[in-house]
Amino acid sequence: MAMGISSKNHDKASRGIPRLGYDMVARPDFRTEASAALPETRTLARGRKRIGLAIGLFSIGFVVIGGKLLMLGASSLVAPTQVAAVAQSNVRHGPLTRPNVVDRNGEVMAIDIMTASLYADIKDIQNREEAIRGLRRVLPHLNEKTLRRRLSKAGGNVRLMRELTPRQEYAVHNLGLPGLNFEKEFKRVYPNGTMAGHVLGYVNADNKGVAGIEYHIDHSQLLDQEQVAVSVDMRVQHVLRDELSRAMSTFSAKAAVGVVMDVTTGEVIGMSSLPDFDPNDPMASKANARFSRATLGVYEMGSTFKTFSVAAALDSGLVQLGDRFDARKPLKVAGGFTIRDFHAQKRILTVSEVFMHSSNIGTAKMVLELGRDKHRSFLDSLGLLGRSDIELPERGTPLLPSRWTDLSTMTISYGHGLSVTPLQVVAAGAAIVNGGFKVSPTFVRQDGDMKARKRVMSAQTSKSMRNLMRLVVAEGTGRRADVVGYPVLGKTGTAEKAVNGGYSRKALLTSFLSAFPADNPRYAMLVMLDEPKGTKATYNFATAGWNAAPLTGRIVRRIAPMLGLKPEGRWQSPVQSVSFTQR
Amino acid sequence: MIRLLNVVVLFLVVGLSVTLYNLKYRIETQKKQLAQIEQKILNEEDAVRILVAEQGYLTQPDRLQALSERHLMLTPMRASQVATFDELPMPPQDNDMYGPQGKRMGGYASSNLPGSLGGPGSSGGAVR
Repeated sequence: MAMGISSKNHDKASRGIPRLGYDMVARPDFRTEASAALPETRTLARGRKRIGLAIGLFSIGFVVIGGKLLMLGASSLVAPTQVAAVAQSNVRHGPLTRPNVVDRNGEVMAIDIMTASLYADIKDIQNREEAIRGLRRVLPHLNEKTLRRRLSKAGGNVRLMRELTPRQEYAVHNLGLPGLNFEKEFKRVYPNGTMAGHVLGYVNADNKGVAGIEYHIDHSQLLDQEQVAVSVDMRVQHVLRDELSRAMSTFSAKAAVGVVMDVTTGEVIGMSSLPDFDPNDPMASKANARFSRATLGVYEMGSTFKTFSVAAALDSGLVQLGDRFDARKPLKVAGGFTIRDFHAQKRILTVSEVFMHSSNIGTAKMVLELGRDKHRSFLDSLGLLGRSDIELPERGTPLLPSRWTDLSTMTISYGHGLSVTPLQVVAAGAAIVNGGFKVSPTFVRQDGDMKARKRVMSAQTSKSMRNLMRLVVAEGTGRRADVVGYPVLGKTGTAEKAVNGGYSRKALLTSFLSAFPADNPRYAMLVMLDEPKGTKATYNFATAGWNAAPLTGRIVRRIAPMLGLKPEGRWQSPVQSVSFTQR
Repeated sequence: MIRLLNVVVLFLVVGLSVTLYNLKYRIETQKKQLAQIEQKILNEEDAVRILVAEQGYLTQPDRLQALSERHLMLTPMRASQVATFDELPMPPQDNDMYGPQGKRMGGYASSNLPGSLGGPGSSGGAVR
């Protein structure tokens, strides 16, 4: 602005207008005879031009400097807080916080909370004895000797305690002792403790997931998510674990496994493997408890496998439901091996009877008719021969016979000679009852559209199998699994465990593969007990029909209403007479 | 003219400096407040996390079941206890069903279907 005005004056002067304003360079002496075009006047005009130019340049300079000053002033306001913001965002959203894990209904299963560690800055501690007394008062579990030893150091920062609860932190803070500081860090907590340890997995000291879904979170770019929803329903999970642990102690079993799966989506609604561990402190449990039997352990499942063998036979069309198989005497196979029946009927059985009475002889003969390759490829299509593709890192690889002979085919038909994970069995069972579509188990809640499903058997086969499995529960070995209002489908399995190269009569692995509700199954379930013993109530029987089947019934009775299933045939008897007498 | 200009510029310089100074300190104060509020929000978020964890801990099914078994006389729901509205019998036509002068409870409780609760008094004992 100053430049503009001065140049205007300068213009007037050059045009010879006598009056000039006050100008630092315009002297009154030079004003006279200015109208004439004298050489002095020209020099004067040139001088003024130069001065104007100088003023202009200086003005530009000052404006630039002023602007720069303004910018500096403004930026000095922004810069430090920006740095702070970056630092804070590192603390909050960097690798230190993990997404919450919630169940399929949004209940929290794992969350990061801020915990404080208590440190003492030795040189700031004024009165050691007072500090020890105060700390012992609010944190009584601290050892006095250790405390004194730590506080007696010459200097430095000493950690006194990790992971104080907010209440403890508050209490220590209120002591008002100088030299006591807190350092905050995030810690993963699992509010439900042991309930779903094998699904959730756990994190290491650096808050990195090393097992279960926690591992999946780290290895599938889910770390920046707000939360991860697993497929598990906490209520179902609780019932499953509750009933399994009860059965485990009733039958003095070594271990128990239970898996509940949605038959259409393959979502695992509940999965428990006992003994289990507390993910809050996984290393406090033995390795045995951290071992996920449901997904990592492989077992010879026994007669449960007959479900798949019979389905294979029916689906091939080579065997019809009405076909008969001679089960009058044990089946002698080349090599001195004999196949016997546990629940021997000693007569000619139809396919339905073979399945209902769980005849090894009948099943073995059935798959021989079907042929080795067809049986094998059917099992493969159900996903029983390869490692299943699940989110958890605990994935068991099935143990196949080294040479798949006719004898292998026969023994595998009734569940010996091939070891698979319980999860694979449930998934295969789900495919049998859901109308014949392959099921891929998953531990993450499936939202949105269903993926295209692959058919592995005809709808007719699936329907026949449902009828056969209903028969097992209605009249066969699985009668104790039935529930009023929620009809169950199922198949028992009692496998003898391989001990020292042979099979033990005493060490059993009992299981029950089931699905409910019977007319249109929505959920498949497998429960398995490792070495259950007979009790007085079971007349010392330890087979699946006496332990795994009633266990299934108890679980279904509790979870079916939670899962929103409508009971069937309820108005056969009035409401109260049933509910008030069946205690 | 030039003198006037100088005076104007001088005032302008002083005025702008004061304004800038003011502005700068006002902004700084607000930034400080903002940082404090942000810190408060973070603290609250931490507290919320802890409360969520605590709520999860207090409402874990294991604990609720133990409490329920100890203090309540509830048993798992049976299939026979699940009904839809369509399945319930029509309440008897009774205009003072909800009124104080009504002697009967009305609805299903006082209907005369077999197996219903019957009259007053029998409902209490039926729970367990």
